[in-house]
Amino acid sequence: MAQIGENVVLKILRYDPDLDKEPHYETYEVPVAKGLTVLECLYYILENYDGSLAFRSSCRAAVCGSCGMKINGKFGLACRTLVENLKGTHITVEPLANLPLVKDLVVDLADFYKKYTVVEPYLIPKEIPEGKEFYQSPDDRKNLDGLVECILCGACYAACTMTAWDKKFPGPFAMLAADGKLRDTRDSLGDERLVDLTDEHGIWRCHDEFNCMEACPKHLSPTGAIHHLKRESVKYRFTSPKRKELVDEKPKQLPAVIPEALTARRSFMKSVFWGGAGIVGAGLLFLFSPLFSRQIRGWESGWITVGKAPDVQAGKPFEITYEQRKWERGKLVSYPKRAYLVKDESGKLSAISPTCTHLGCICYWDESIRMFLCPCHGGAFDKAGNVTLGPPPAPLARLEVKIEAGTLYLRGEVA
Amino acid sequence: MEVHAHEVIVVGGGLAGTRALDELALRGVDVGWISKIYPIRSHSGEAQGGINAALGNHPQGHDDSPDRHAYDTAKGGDFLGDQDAIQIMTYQAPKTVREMEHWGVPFSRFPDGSIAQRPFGGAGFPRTCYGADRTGHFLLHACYQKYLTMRDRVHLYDEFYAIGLIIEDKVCHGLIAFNLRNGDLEAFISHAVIFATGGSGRIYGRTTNSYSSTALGVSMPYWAGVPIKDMEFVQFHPTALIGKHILMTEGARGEGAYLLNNDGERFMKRYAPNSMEIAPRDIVARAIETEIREGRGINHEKYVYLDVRHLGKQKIDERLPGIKSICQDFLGIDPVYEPIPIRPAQHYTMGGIDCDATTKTEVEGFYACGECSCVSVHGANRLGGNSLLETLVFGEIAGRNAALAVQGKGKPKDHSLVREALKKKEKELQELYNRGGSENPYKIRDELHDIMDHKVQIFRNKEDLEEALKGIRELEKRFHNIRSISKSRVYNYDKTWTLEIKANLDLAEIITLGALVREESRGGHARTDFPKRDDEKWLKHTIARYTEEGPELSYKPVTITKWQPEERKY
Repeated sequence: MAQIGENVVLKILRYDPDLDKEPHYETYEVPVAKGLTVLECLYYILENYDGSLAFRSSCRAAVCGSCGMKINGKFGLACRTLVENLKGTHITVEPLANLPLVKDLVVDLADFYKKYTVVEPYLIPKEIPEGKEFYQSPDDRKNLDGLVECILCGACYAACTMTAWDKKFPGPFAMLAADGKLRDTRDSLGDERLVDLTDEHGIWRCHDEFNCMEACPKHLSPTGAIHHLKRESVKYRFTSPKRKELVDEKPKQLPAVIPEALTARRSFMKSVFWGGAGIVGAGLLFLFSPLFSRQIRGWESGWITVGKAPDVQAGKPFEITYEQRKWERGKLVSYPKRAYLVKDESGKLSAISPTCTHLGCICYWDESIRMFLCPCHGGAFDKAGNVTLGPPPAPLARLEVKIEAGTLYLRGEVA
Repeated sequence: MEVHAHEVIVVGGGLAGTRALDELALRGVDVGWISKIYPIRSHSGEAQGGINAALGNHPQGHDDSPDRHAYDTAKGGDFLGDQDAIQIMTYQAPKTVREMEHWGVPFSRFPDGSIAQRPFGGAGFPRTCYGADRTGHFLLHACYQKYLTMRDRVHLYDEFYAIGLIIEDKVCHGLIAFNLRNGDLEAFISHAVIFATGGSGRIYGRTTNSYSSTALGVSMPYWAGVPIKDMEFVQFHPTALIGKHILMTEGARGEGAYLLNNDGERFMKRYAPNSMEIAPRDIVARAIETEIREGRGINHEKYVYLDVRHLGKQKIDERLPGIKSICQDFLGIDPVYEPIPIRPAQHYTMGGIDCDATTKTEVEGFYACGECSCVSVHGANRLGGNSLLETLVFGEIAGRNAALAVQGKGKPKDHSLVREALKKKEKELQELYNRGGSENPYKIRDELHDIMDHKVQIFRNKEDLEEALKGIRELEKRFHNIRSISKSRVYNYDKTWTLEIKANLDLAEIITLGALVREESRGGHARTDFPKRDDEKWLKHTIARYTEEGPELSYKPVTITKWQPEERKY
């Protein structure tokens, strides 16, 4: 960290289309003052060293979204990045990625703005009440929190690997805006908004890398919004009046080859959701094939005590949670897990693991359409765990169940 | 040399400009929309607290009315506002706010589902409609989204700096703009030009305004012969975060925040015993500044505390999330647990391009609305929540009047006047950018900030103002000797900033001169040597006109309809 009174060294990507064939880096020294921001450093350079340095800025209060750029490898706002919060005395400043470079730190945002309009981010209101506002309950308004604060700074767009890979993917910010309007009770389009988002360049492209969340200077969650859109669009397939054609239509598959880089990235999935989906996936590998898992040192096997046996109605899956224990660095660690108890017509009790057989996301039971839905890629399963829609290659796994003296036990056995 | 022709040209991507578009597009007018930054980056988006309208949704606001709103506005402005215009604004307010709601603004809600309202400074009833503390952001984005639906009629020229108006014999024919993308000057011809370029806060160093809120939008018409009005009335926002001077919304005090001095005393009781913290901004700003001057700043430093801790985490997260994150980002403090250090900073330009409630100016085909204009509805001091309202109401009026004026005329034809103006401007800029002197223009700007922050601030006196005027004229002279500006062609911000500094200098002179001549205290203009309001001599608007020798001042009467000037007590 650069101390007050010392100089901080900025290494800035420079490129002038009239002079340079290739972008290059130049370094500048800026004296550190209390509360100095990277944006102020850029102004210092423009005013004292080189007037040709190009960068956008306006509000300097993290509200206008002009100064999105890459600082020490992370996308964010230059005005919001305090020099004193950065490690070391060297700062690397580069323009936003995934957008054509125009000059220095200025990128061409035309595509970015165009993609915003693609999702029709404006309200298409229901019948406007004469001389009154729409009435919207505080709870309905609360649903919009986290969806309407986006400042369109482009940090998520630059951080998203999918925007890099698929030029037609609208990007996290656009999805966030789309979800904001979908959830707005005043909007008349409703589920129709989903139709255009579910093509092969739409929401299913998102692979939950959470890069957008990490980059967002307003702490918003485009990933969360995309998850909501995914859930709603799967539901829509079952509830829409056009249901038959939608379901009969062969579900659009992802391309057969997923780039190596993307599959590799999955293993780095951040443990923001559900305490780490990767660990859950690994845990279920154990549940799938106990014979195999028993050979792995440290895995606990055998019956797991869940607790008091609940009263399960026939035909209505009942959610239970239990603790999966595991040896880790010589310690026994517990992980919370979920399963669904299912009673068939004959009264036989079994348990279904909600881990999607496609890529290991956790499905949930949606009572409105009576199906298990996967939030990631639109997989759907009926109450017995058989695939009804989407990419999952196999039915949901089954667990062995026993009840002894009113206590429920589970064991990982594939049915 | 490129010449663009449109029926109407709107300059400015903030709320006023964006609102005007709808009126124009609705009537099938072909619009060219020029903005120096992409529209959603505009300073309107920084407004936090809310927008005033006598909706009567608040349980304590059932007796509210547009007339009460107008009275509060006139009194808040120390009776310098034109009351006919104020009434137009307040009567339009409920319609305007509801219209914004229909456009999709996510206003916060009362339990019954209606738009939530909160108390604000100088208002007799809680009438400030809000969306958390991001009202400006929500409004701006909703208006921008509305623009997206009318792109077939509105051609956006973003990152074009309007730099000179083409006015001949009091008729506006268009303007010259600097294209940042390639450094070219391009001409825009039209039957009407609407200016919605925002405030001039960056004349000051300690300001809540964004980098883009500069004087160019007012200086440009001033240079072209359009009179400007009441520039000496500058609003200082009482609560700006120390260090970065970022706005801490008046909504915080509306929700019940305290102002505390070093003794932990709620000192507002000595200045406005009835309204306490939600007195009008000029009064609160003077109170804070007095506390600081008299040594009661926190640790005897130049700030006091804005304390929201007693509101509790839940209320802060729900109603003031924006200022909470600003405090965390820029000072590393959490207002839930720590008081916020604040000091008044320049916030709003009450003065501006002289126009009336029709938004028309002295020049035919030239309209002004929003903060760059002076209608005048705010008089000598603006009430919180009235600026967003003004932008929308008068943006709409400007759009409508311009549309009606140009209807059926078709696109203007290219003519020699424009080419001549373009050549002249090109020569002028050539000269400005190649002076080859020794002065750093940014140094001159810093010195201007210093003068304005210390001598033309909340409390003014003859001596300071005279010194300031001398200092500014000195800087103007030194500006003739600035170094050569970067020759870079693409995105050359050095060129635009140099121009902005020139504009800031000229407007600073008008502010200072107006303040020096006005020997009274009224609203935002407080003279320690003339502490009383003097209605007999000074109940009039200051008008400044450009001459070669410097600004020429004259005066214009104030319109009074219903409310005779009275003493302001809160």
